[in-house]
Amino acid sequence: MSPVAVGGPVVVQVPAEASMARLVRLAASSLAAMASMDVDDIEDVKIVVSEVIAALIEHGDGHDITIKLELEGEGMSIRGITDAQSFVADSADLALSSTVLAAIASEHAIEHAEGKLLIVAAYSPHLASDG
Amino acid sequence: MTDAGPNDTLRVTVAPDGAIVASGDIDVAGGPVLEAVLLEQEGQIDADETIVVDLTEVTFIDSSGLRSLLSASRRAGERSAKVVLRSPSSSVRRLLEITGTTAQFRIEDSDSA
Repeated sequence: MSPVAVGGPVVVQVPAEASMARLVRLAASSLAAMASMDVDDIEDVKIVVSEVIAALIEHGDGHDITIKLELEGEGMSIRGITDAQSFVADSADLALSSTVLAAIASEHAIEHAEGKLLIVAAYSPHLASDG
Repeated sequence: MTDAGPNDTLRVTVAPDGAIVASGDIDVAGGPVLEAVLLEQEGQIDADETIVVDLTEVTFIDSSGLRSLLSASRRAGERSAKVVLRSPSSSVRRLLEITGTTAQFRIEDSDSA
């Protein structure tokens, strides 16, 4: 299957509700399929996106979450942001999530500044399959 | 079989043998559902009795879902018991390996049940 050209990023804005995680995973997996990623890569993309949305739901203020998904080369970048006036960076659940992101994503970062929690991750099929 | 806790992404039932059967996605939405059923089931068994979680029909799991299993494992450890994960898929096994948590469970394949 040939990759479908995607002109720009896909931006999804959802309420900070746990039930929205599946919807965001569906959007990400659809985009990954359009980019002709294989089944294993699509599953990895779903995990990366799920870690990002879960952390934003659990550590944000409960306001809307914006997720930007963008195909970059053969991979995908994921950028999620929400309001978070306070943030505990060294929580056990965030450490577990970071462990998963470090193993599956080619890079990731969790930043808190000016009342916003930002989580970015990049997924590269080749890096993942090599690791 | 008792239907103990469905939601949009995860269905959790308790089989006649007491095994907790999860079906669907164990994520930030499903994790708390599974956690609630685990706590309820733990309240109905002897302290040293094993909790069995059948993962045969789990299609997705992330770290927020894994936390519910780890919490059960920690509580079981306090009772000198163990949580058995029955028939975990390759994706579940991979998540356990990535997070270094495999040893916190007893893994049971369906043909050894």
